This record gives sequence, C-alpha cells and structure tokens, in this order.
Amino acid sequence: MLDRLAAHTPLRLAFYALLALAFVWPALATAGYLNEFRDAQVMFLHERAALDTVKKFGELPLWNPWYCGGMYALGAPQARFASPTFLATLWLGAERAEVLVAFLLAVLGMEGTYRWLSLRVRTGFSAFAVAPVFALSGQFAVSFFRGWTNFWGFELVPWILMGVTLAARGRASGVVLASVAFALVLGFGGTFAAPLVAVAVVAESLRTLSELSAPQRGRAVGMLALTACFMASASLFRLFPVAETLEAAPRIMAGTPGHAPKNIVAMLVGTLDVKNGSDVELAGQFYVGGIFLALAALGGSDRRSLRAMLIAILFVWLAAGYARKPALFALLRELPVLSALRYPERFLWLAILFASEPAARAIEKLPQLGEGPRWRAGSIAVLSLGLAVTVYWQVGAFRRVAVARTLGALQEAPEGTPFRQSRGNRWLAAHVQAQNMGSLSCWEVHPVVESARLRGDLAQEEYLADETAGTVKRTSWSPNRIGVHASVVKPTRLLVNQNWHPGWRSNVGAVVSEEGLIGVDLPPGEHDVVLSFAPRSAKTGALVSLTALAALAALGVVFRRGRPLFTTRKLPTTLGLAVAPWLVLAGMRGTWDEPKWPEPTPRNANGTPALVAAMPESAAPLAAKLDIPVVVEGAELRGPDARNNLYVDLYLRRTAKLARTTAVFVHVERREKLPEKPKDEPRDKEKEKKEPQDFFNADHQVVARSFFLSDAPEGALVDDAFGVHLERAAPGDWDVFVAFGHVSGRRGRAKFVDPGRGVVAEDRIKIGSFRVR
Amino acid sequence: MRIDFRITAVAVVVLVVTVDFVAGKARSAPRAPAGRVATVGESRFIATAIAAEEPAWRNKSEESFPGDHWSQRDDFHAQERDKAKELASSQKLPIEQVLRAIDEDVRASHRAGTAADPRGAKAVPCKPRPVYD
Repeated sequence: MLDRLAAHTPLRLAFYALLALAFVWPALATAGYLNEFRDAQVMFLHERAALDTVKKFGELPLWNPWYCGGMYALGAPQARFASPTFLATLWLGAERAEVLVAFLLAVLGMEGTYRWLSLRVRTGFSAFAVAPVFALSGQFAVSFFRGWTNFWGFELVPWILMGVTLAARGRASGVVLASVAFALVLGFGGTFAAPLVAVAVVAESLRTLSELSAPQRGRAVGMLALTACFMASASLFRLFPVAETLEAAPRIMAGTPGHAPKNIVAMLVGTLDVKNGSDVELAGQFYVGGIFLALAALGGSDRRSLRAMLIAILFVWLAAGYARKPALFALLRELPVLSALRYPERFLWLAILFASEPAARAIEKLPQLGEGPRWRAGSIAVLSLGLAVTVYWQVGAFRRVAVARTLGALQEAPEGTPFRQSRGNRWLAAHVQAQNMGSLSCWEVHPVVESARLRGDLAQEEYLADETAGTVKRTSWSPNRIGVHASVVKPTRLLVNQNWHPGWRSNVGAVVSEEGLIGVDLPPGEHDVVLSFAPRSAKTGALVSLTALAALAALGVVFRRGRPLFTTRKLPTTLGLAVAPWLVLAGMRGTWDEPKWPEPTPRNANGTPALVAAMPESAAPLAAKLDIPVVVEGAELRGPDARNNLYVDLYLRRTAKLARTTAVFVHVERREKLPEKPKDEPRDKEKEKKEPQDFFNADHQVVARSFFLSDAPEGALVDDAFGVHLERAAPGDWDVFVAFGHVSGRRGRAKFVDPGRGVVAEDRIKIGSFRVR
Repeated sequence: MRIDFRITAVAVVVLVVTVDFVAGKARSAPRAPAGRVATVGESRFIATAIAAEEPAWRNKSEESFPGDHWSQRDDFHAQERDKAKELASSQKLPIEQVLRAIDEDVRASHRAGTAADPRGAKAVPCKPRPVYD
C-alpha cells in the first residue's frame, strides 16, 4: 500500500511540495528583503544586473558594467541567470525570486533523488522516505544564509546521475535527461558545479558499468560516451564563456584544506547555527542527522548496496581533504580543472546522495527481518518516525539560519540617473549597483581581468586620450551598447571607462585595449561611434547548445521506449545527431574574428612583474641549489618600515619538473630567542596578543601570487615579492631564512646541495638580516 | 480506479495550491521602505566623516596586508562598509545615500585636482589571495 502511494507521482510531488513549503516557510515573510551577507551582495548583483539589462534596456545580459569595471556576464562563474529560474527573477524581481527558486529546486531535489534511488531500490516507499534527507540537507540552508543561491543547483545532481544510469542501461531518455540537467546546473552557475558533477558522473558511470554483464558493457560505454558528448554540447552556451574567462585569468587555489573525522561527523550530525550573527558554524553544515547515518550504515552491509556505500565512503574520504593520509583529494587536484577545487567538505553532498541508497535499503530490509504484520507495521512506523524527526530537524536548521540573516532593502537611483563608475564597495556591491554605479572594488572567485586605468572619479565615462583633440558626448547608453558623438580635430583615441574584452565592436575603426580599457582610434572629423558587445563565445555557445537540444529532442523521439541506438541501421542517425552540434561549432569557427586575449602578465601582489630578466643590483646574489630543481638566485630585503612591514623579493628559478605541492617556507627569526615561558604558567590569550614576538613566518605555495612554483616557466627568473608585518617584533637582530618542501611541512625540507654564496643551516638558507630598534 | 482518480485530483490540487501559495507569498511579502534622500548637509557630514577615517583605514590595511595591493584595498572597503552602515543607521538613511555621498566627495577631490589619486579612486585589479598565503 505504502509503495503504491509512494509510486503515485502527483501524490508524491504534492507531499514533497508541502515539505519544501515547510522548509522555506521562515523565508517567505521576508522574501522582499535583500540578504546583506557579504557573498550575497555579489551573487545578487549578478542576478540584478541581468534583470536590469533585460527589463530596463531590452538586451540580453551579456555584459555587466556594474561590477569590477565591467565584466562578461555570461562568463562570470557565479552568475546564475542563464537558467530557466531567471523567469522567476523576471516575474518577481531578484529578491523575491530567491525563495521561490529554493522551493522549486527543493521539490526537484526530492523528486530526483526518489527517481534515482528507485532505479535500484525495490520498494518505492523506502526511496520516497529517504529522498528528502539529501534535498533538505544542511548545506542548502547554509547556501540560503550566505546568498549562495547557485548552490541550490546541486538539487539537480540526482537527475544527472539518473540520466547516466539510464543511458548506460541503453535508454536514450537517459542521454537526454543527463544532458539537459547538466546544462541547467551549469547555467545556474557556481565554480563547483561542473567539477563536482563530473566526479559524480564518473563514479556513477563506473558503478553502473560494474552492475552490467560483460556483453552489455560495450554498448553501455558507447552510450556513456554519447551522453558525455551531449552533456558538453548542450551546456556549451555556458561552458564556452566561462572557460574563456577562466583561461584569461586562471583561478589558483593553494593550501592543504582538510577536516578531521570528528569535524566531518559534526558537519553531518551537529546543530546548525549562526555564529555571533555573522556566519554559520561548522557543525551541522551538511546536517543529515544520526538516524540517516545509522540507516546508511545498516543498509551498507547489504550486498546490493556495497557499490553505493563504497562510493559514499570515497566521497567522505575526499571531503576529509588533506587531513586523511593518503589524501584522495590531493590526487584529484592533480587533474586539470579540478586543481582549482577548494573546500573538500563539499564532497559530503555527494556522499549523502550515494549514502541515500543504503539508507533506503535499510528501510526496505528491516521490516523483512521479523515476522508478522505487526512487526512490519511497527518497524515501518519507527523508521518513518526516525526520518520524520530528521526532516523536522533539517527544517529547524533552515529556520534558524533563515531568520538569523541580516536583511536590508535597496534604494534605486531615480529614473534617468546616468551610469558611472565609482570607487564602490564590493561588500555593499548590490547597493552600489542599485544606484546605477559601477563598483571598481571587486572580489570574485577568480582574478578578474581589471584595468588599472579604471577610475571612479571621472567627470565623463567616455573621453579622449588627448583632451586637446576635441570633445565627446554620450548619446546613448545600455550595458551592451554605448553611443557617443565625437568631434575630433586631430587623430586621437576614444576611451571608455570600462574593461576591454575581445567581444567589443565599434562601427568606427577597431576596438583596442588601452592598458585594459576600451579604446577606439579616431581620425579627425565628426563621428557617431557605437560600441556594441557581442562575444563569439555567447553566439557560438548558444547556437551549439540549441543544436544539441534539437538533436536531443530528435534522439528522444527516434529512440523512444528503449529502442537501441547502436544497431547497424541506426548508428548513422545516432552519430549524426551527436556530431551535429560540433559541426555547428566547426562552422562557426570560420566566422570568428575576435582578437585574442593578450597573454596574461603575471604580477606580484604589489603589482611588480613576476618574471624578470635579471635581479636588480641591490639584491644579494646567492645562487644556491637544492636537491629539487630550484635555484635560489638571490634575495632583497627592505624594511622594516614605519609600519613594521618587511618587504622581501626572493629570486627563484625552476630548472626542471617539480611537484606542485612544493612550498616556500619563509621564517623571520630573532637571532636571540626570547625566554620561553614556564609550561605550567596559565595562558592568557589577551595578554599573549600584546607580548613581543621572536618569530614570524610567510610560508606560501603560490609564488609571486601568480602560479605554483611548479608552474613557473622553466628557466625563467621569478621575482617572488611578499611582505611580512612584524607587529610586536622584539627589538634586536633578526634573520630571514628560506626553505623548501612539501606544502604540509610534514615531509622534511629539501636539502641544499650547493649553498652558493649563501649560508645554509638546518636545510634553510639565510637570505638577509635586519635590526629592530 | 475512481479512488486513484480522486487521489490524483486531490494531489494535483495540493501541488498547484502549494506552488501558487509560495509564489503568492513571495510576491506579496512586504519589503523594507526604500528610505529617503539625504539632504546636502547630511551628505556633507557623511562625506567628511568617511574622509576623516580613510587614512587610518589605509594604515591598518597596509599593516594587515603588507605589499598586497588588492587585499589592502579590499580590507579598506571592509572598514568603509562598517562605517557606512554605522552612519546610515545613525542618520536614518539608506546605505545608498551614504555610498552616493562618498562617491560625490571622491569626485570632488579629483576635480579639485588635489593629487593624482588622493581617495583611492583608481582600480586595484582583483587578485584574490590563494588560501595558503
């Protein structure tokens, strides 16, 4: 009876909708408010910029002039407007749409998990009962608190996995489902969606292949390849712009993040709460509760759940990051794209999803362990109650964080207020945008290509490089189109106070990059210049994706009801449909006339070039060689200055292949150690904060703030410039030492085989000294 | 079969009503009043208060992030945000009015030609810190 009810789609959806309503209920009353959390400001700005571009200017949201001096909106990884949820934004506005989107995606998450589990779990009720645990898990509440709306895209992951399984089992509908769901997830944005989903898809593919008989596997591999092909082409509208953006300014993530087992358990079963009203605590961030974990452990002993359980354990291992040796996460980061992964704990999302299967099996199995209807009814009642309690706690967790959000409102600029760049403030980015001002203060998940020539105090946003050459007047303005009238008496360059991008075009001459600003060379005369933004990646990506969707629709129709795709007769049709989007891409390549992005010039955090031809004469030559392919060519110290800042330029050369985990250890030490405190003396942390120091470190893995040492051009001289604030440095003589080794610091230091002109002790080379008075 | 149809009908109604309810509540939920526009005097007060604190913010940022221009600027703006919120609250003004007052003052500094970039109006290209650093 319960299985029949669970299998009833309208009934199930109605139940899930009511659950989702209970989940988002606390946020409904404040739907008209803005989430003031720092990250929410930027996420919201992206959505709001897209909304304004469509509603106020009637244009597609391709260029976002309101942030970072102007950026490619479709290429911004954190923007989420390239998905059907944008319709809700258009209808309700960016603030109000958030709660509706969360509600709808929660329903989709539960339904997707149910359907995915039902592919392997026999009783519908068990899948039905377990599905909400993933879809309402703690991280969705955390995402709502922080305004990370695009993280709700993970609700669609079970749909992708379901598509992969069906495809491997020979169903064309699986190819369609996985491809469309993946395109939706990517359109919804976020830097984690694509890499995490890719890992989950690989795991699901391998699992499904292992479930099939040997003769079936060949066809399954073909189907999975077809799925991968369509997943890429259907999402190219987003993949292409984002890939182009990240290629121009790669995201680099260093460090060895990790979580001890007790922290992982705390994230899964702890109470989610907000710390001092500012941010959520670690505990409960992925809340699924102890009952779910117990069920998963119980069901994991079932032979049929072994694969799912094994994958769940692998994801927990990944979530542990570098804290669990050997670190699977470290291996994953060796792969392209995945090298930029941060926050290993996010793999817990996938662990929860895969653990849902053994949990469902436990619900399926327990009633069968005893005998008689009483036992069955009783056990089902107890299990249902257990899961109900779990969901109740999840709803409670969402309520606690939803009501703890700091909320605000936007005040829009009066109609007709012209756009202008301002110094801005990224911590209040949404408010800056509401005033039709651009914020040059910029934070993103990757280094944005931002011109240092941008200014937030200009009288005019469009001006001539040579102000004596004539006058310029803005005639029209919209995000993707800027019109100016220029009266020019001698050749000069028109400059626009926005970032250059290869997608900008002009009706008069070519658009050029003037140190990263948009520029157009003008001859003498009267000119009505129209600049427009239409990047090739947007046009090409959209065409390829539309072709892929049409091909998927055809695939779904031609091969409906499980008709085989790889018979001799049907193979040309299958391959033709798969190749069609890529043929469009090949055809579009012929129309590309965009200039290339200039090679990025790597720079230090202080703005100086990371690669230099030679050391300055003021640097002390060292020429010290290590037993790893690194040469310390020299170093220069400046300071400490009046602010107690010491500035270091370390000149390094990589001479051969090097492990990416190689770090530079920088120790700033007082020559004479301060007397140690007696160990039995009680610690007073406040007092300690004011006490003189005799040691500082400036260890780092990314040199010159630009690349891992392993990625430094071989043979090139790297100027690794950094600063150390010597607050409370005890007066006396100080030395600065440099060593190299594994980033964790646990595998000893690389040895100096030739100290050159330096002094080496304890596998550290002294690069300079100074005195603190 | 009739029971199944009734269940289906009820379920569909519940589903539609729930979705409609959420959309309706989201649409009709009250929003905070957008607030008033600052007077010239208030704008001047805000601008003066912010400008007076900027040197101290810069100093603190340079101590916190020696030799790291983007981090210094980002930290500067974090301090500016705190003060802007405080001023908005004390003056009972929306934060946008504080931001606009700052913007006008920054522009005025440039027009007066006091120095090349006395208020940090030039962009410092976004270069977020890698985790380990």
